[in-house]
Amino acid sequence: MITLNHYLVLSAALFVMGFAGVVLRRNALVIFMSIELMLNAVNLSFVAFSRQFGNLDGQLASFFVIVLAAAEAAIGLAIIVLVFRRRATVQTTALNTLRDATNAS
Amino acid sequence: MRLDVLQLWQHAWPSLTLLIAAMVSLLTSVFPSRHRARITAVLAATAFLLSAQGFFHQWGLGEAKGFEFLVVDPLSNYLGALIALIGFITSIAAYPYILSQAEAIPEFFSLLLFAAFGMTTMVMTTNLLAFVLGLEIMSLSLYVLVGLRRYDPRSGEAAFKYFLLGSVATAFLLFGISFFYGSTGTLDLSRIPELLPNPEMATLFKLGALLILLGFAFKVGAVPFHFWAPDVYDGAPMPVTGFMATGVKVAAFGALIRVVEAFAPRHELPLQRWIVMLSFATMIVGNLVALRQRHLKRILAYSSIAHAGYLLLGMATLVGTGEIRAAALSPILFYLLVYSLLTLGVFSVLTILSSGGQELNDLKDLDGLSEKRPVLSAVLSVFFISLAGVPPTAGFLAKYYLFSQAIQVGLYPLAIAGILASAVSLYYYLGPIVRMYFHSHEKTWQAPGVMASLRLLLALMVAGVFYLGLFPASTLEISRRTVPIRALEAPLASPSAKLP
Repeated sequence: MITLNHYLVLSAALFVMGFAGVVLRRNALVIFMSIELMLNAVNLSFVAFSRQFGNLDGQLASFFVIVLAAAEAAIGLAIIVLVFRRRATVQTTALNTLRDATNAS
Repeated sequence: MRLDVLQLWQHAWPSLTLLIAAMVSLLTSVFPSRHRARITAVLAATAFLLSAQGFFHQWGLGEAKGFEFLVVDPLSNYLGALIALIGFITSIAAYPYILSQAEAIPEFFSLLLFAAFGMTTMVMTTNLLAFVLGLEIMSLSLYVLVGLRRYDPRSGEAAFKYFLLGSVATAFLLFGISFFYGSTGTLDLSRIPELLPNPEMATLFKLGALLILLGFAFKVGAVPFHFWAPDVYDGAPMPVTGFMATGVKVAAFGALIRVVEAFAPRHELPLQRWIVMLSFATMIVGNLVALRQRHLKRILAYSSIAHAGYLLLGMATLVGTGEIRAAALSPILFYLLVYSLLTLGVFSVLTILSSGGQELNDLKDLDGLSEKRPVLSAVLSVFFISLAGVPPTAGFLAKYYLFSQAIQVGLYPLAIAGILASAVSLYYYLGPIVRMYFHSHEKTWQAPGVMASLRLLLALMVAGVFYLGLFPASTLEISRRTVPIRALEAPLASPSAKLP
């Protein structure tokens, strides 16, 4: 029998994996995929709660999150392409023009 | 309750005007480029002004009306009017700047309208789903606006950083909302007071509230979630930076007022302790790190972080009073107005100076400006001095009301930290003024003359700084009469809530 807790544990695991990917990986596309993973974890927990309560608010929310993720993908990929055309790399370590310049005067 | 479109239009038209204008302005791409920029600029400025007037008119009616997703009450109308005015000033100040770019970008004005529409949606709702949609409409437009100078690698880098970190913050916010939904069975904040505390779900509820607050802390740039702000402000085009520093703050704090209003009566949440800690860290770190900056935009970025700290102090006061009271709310609303006026003033002048094709960046660029542009230098100095909180100006009074309210509810350590931190801030606000007046210029600075409408606007803004500083009574009265829907009348009729 699969209970609410199983879904929640899976959702939390997906979310943590996504966040770990954002923090640990250096490739912009992989970071981007990790963000999508976090959003899908959110979807799973919304739908699980919705099923538990028997009200549709949660399912509605997950539809909106899917739309939102698609819009984010459109803009995010455009920005990544923009950066790639400038620098020919999507490694985040290469993006270091903007930083606190404390010693230089 | 069925959604009545006519009634919705009647109450929410100022916000919908922005959306319609944004869509119409996208259709203007049939015109040749040069005219297109002018047409969209005029359209945007008109729509912003119309919308501000509409919000103010609605505020005067003092009504409160709840729709399924939107809430129209004095609070939303006050903040909506402020957002529309911010958009108006930005679109006027940015026009010469946009024309001076290597490729004129008329889409700037469409995106500005879309972002402003998202902001008004954020403050016009108690439903967390509608709030997130507004937040994303705003954020997605801003990601593009930040990367607008696409031939400039700094702009692209700023957009990239803002996008990645902003999306992560949104994911956290959404995860928090799903926990909130899981522990209460509703997405509507206004229904929390009807729900009985459920001990089984207490941990889930607490975790949800914490994650939601974390998302907010990121959006307002509170320490320790501020690290994106200096980089993004630095790389973004000048008018966009000004718009972000003011509009996003107003919208996020407006939405935060509603969240705090809903959560404050739930005593199982250590809400005040969380906000006090955030405020403490934000005021101190923001002001101290600003001292060491050499770039003008980074100074202003840390300054906006510091001001978010003062506003969080106001939020802590609000929680301390237990429920929403006009006495605790009005200093925050007044501070938002004054902060927006001053910051937009600074950025308008800097946008004028950047309209010569090259972006003003280093503090050194201001050297000896008073000899070449005496009027602009004087105007800029007024705004900087007022931001520091020097007495005869609006900035002083705004801080005074905020801190005295905090002392009244007994937040002594926080108020003292705030006063000390704002004393420190005088140093970095005076830095640019010293540069303008006491350094000789080496650089040949090229900035065009100022449009008549922009001159008039700047004159009005300077007048506003002194007017609000010397005769604040009428404006304070407006902010005192601005209350959210729940304080205005009995709770909205809604089906009795069931707990899971």
